[in-house]
Amino acid sequence: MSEDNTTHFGFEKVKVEEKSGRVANVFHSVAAKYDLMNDLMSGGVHRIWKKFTIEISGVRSGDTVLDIAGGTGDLSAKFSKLVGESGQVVLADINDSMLKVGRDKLINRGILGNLRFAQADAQYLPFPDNTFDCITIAFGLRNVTDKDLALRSMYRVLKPGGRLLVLEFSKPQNALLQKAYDTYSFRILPGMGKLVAGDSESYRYLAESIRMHPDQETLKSMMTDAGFDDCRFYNMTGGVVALHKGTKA
Amino acid sequence: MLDPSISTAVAAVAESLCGKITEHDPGTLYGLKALSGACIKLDLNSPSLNFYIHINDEGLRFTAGNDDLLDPPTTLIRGKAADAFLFLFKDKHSLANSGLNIEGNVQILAELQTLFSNVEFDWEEILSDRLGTTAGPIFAKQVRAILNTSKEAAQTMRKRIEPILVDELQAAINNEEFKHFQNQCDTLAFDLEFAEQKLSQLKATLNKG
Repeated sequence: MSEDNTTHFGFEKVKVEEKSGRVANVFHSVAAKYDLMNDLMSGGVHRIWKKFTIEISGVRSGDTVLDIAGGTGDLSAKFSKLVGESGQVVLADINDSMLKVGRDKLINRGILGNLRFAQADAQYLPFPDNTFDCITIAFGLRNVTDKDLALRSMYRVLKPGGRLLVLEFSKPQNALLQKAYDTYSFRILPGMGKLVAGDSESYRYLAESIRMHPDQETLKSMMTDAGFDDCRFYNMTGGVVALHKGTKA
Repeated sequence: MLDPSISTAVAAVAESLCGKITEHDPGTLYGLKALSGACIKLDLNSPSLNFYIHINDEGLRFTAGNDDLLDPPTTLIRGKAADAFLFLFKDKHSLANSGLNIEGNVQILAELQTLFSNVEFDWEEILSDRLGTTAGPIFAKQVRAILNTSKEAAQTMRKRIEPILVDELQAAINNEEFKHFQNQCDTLAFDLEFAEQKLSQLKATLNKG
């Protein structure tokens, strides 16, 4: 976010108060075909990235987990199994369309009981201090208007000793991979979005927002600034995606 | 260190495979429940890979490399990735000469080996799900019959081949005997050459005389 009260919406500069509305429109548009598009766009690799996130989370039976920007509930479904009956998972998303798709999907799969749903803004989490053992935000932070504010909000609701995991697209570590990735993101991805979801603009925004998102080291220092300890990141698929981990002391 | 995407993908494939087995073979799942709580760590090098196999009431869970938050494993297997891969596809799961080192509870490995070598799928359930409740059991009966016949044929073949191999191997000379035979041949060849030369000398002497 800049001092002239503007922020990025993809490559476009927009007023801060406009961004959340425009991001909301993108996700209203893609919600119905979000899972299908995720599989198509990543060739199914997003499941591997999410599995690694769950492994690194160290979530155990009885834990309380917050899945921010949980969307269609991939992570929440796994966490629900891991925390068991004595634990609790909160699937939170700012977008009601995504939340509805996620809620319906999980209920249809019989995942109930220890799962709660909340329409919540990551910048102003509506939970008491020191509530969660683990917080995850997968492919959501880049859409948040004020990322620093969101990280501080997450820090507040995390219990001491709790972990924050940020799974997000990042900067490929190899120049050749970066070039191939750019071609794919800006030439193929919008076309695929138009063909399958009937919406190329939303997928163009997704590609642009990935490029505008802070790289690995910047995000790590943002987490440190928000108060997290022992911050580190794991590059996956050559840095196309990075998993950042921080702990609340 | 290998890209976590690769090690996680390997773990996901293994987990999915074992998940399919336990889904369609309640006997194996029941057997795994008895081992619930155990954790096997595979600490592999070249390339460097860490895998954890967690046994719980729902079967096996595979994870790749999260040393920070896990309890110490009950069984630790160390060695080269290639040796571990070869070990998986060996008929006899003896660790002797496998290049792998093992620490902790070995009994778990033996029990897992027994469980997974006796997997028997519930073909009726699998095929009924796909073909319906009329055709499913009929095809399941056929599949079971074919598998049983193949199993019996394999057992018969093994039974017949084993005594032949034992007889043949007994008849075959061992390495030391072969070396001794080679030495005897060499000595004989040398003696023959010596005799030939002696004979030539005698012939020459006779001709002179």
